Amino acid sequence: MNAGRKPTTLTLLTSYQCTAACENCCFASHPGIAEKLPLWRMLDAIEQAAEMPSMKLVVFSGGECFMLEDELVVAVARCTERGLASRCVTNGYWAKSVQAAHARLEPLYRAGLREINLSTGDHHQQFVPVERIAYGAAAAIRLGMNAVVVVEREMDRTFHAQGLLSHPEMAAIRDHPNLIVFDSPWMAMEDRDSVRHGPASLTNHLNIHRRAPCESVLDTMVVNPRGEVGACCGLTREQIPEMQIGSLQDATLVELAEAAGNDFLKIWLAVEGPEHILAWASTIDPRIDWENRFNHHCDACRALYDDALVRDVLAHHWRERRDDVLYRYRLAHQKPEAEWPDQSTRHTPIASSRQEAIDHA
Amino acid sequence: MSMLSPVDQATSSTVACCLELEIRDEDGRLPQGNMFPVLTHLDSGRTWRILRYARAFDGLLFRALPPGKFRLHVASPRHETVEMEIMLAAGGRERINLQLKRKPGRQPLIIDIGADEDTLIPARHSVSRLVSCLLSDRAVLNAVEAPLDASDAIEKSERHHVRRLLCIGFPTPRRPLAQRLFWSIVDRRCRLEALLATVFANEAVTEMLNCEPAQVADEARTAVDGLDRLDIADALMMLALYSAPWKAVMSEVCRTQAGIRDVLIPAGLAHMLQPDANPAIPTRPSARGRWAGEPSDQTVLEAGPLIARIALVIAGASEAQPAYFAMFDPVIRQMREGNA
Repeated sequence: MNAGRKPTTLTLLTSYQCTAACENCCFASHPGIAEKLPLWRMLDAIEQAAEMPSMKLVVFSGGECFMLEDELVVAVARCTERGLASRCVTNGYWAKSVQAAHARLEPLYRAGLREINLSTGDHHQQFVPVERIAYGAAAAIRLGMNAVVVVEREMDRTFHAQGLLSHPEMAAIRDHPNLIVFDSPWMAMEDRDSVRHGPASLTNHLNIHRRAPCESVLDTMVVNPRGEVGACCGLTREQIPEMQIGSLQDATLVELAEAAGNDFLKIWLAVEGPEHILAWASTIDPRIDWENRFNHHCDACRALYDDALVRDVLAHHWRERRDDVLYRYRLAHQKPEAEWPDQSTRHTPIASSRQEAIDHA
Repeated sequence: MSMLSPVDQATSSTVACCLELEIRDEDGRLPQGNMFPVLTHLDSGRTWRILRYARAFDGLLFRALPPGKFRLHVASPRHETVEMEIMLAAGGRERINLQLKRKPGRQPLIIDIGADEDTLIPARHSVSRLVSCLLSDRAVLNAVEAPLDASDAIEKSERHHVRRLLCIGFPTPRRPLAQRLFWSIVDRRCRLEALLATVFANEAVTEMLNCEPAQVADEARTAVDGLDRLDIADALMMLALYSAPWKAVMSEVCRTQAGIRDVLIPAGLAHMLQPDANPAIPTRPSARGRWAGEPSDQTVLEAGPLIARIALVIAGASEAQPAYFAMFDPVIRQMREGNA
């Protein structure tokens, strides 16, 4: 479909190797994995992304992308050269002190990195002390970068964002405009009972009107360490075969994005989100059980694709929603020709234009 | 048939045994490709740990296992899952036969609607006729200045489609005047919807939507009093037609058109669009998604009409898809009763 959501973000899962081995890690990352995305493949993907007018941002994640050492700096620099903003997602293991964190971040900053995302919480802290999150965030802020700290949220958690903000290093920067700290649901990946959430946070008919569309599907392209490409950066993407849209060995990012954009289900997810689709499906087949089960978009999406009852409803009744969904999709994503901003200018929170990104480098 | 070979490589006092697993399928073949093996320790309750120390499935090596019972859960990149129980006695050296049985594969659920631009246009002849109607400046002007129901140019049976066309901006008129007017309509609706989203961001307001039905009915009854017909029509169209992608539209519309003075909202809500009018009342979420101040009772009170709009919109949509929207009961039912 030519008129539709175009990918704005390329996420490179550089390796599933990680210094931590968190329970329910979305990619089952751990220290024993050797497989990684070769540098040439990363650079090639960045080059392909740079040729896509809609692309704005490259996210380096994993696994632990800081284990790439100097290769990460090279890849970030390539993004900057090509006018793409970059972001690194990390557990902060390398921030053993503010000085050490600064030493690690400074080359990346010089290469053009303007945002770092740090993950912490009960699970991460089994492997990475919270002090390192504080040191990493503080060093990033002092360098002039944006620092986003994501704290795991589940029902029985012992660690909260307040615990992080009370750290002396964080206290000094807690009101800085470049610092954002927020909670994100921790999700069960293998054993549903292993992560509990409060009943108020689970989707049901009383709160479904507050569930938003999926902002990731067709917006983010993910390349995993095997060079396979996904159509979203969801936590359960690896568990949904339909979200694997091909391999860089066989096709380009542009080809894969265009093919994925023709899948009505992905469009539907972008327009309504998985919870609304599940709810609708349950009106056709009342055996579909969706209420008070899902805390997270991605959990609902996994169920949508995995539940045979839902699949059957979608396969046989999707035409009933076709017109409405496509209309709304068109509204959201087709640009009026006369008033649309120049495509050559990329706006991002980090580097507002290609020239700015290059200047920083 | 599979083989489990304990290997004595204990390296710490907590280690009871270490295992080297080689698992083959029923035909004696090693699984191909990368697998996601996860070993779950079943004996340690809430503190149970998942041990992941190998990805290649052939020659799977687990080190530093604590004593106890384990479950091996394996998933391929396509996530055909396998579960196997492994019973380990502390320090034991056992041979356990494991069978690798994959779940039956399933066909991918891909609904390919093709790249043809025509697929965007539902095959309804009335749509194309209405498009030509809207392309005249007069029709657009009528749509701006008068409620759609009053437009003689549109047959009663087609009014629903006209509303859709106006709301979603399809197709965009090409003549400059028509285009400007067209986008002013979309702009107005988008801004109003953004206001709704702002209200949703207020926890106090969203809690109201979840409160006791009788209480909701009272709120709705109070709120509806202040609405005029056009506002209700706006709200009905907005949420029924494009409640989901308001963010994307807003960002693009606001990029080119500054100012929110001409937004059609009840006078009582004007302060929400004027940040400096009353500093005590939060006007919009901060950049980080938090309110600049604490929501006050006054804010909640003033937001009443918007809540009613939301309810009305959902109630309006329920007429089109009663089974789906019946799920919003009892809140919506009470809202509708309040409206009546």
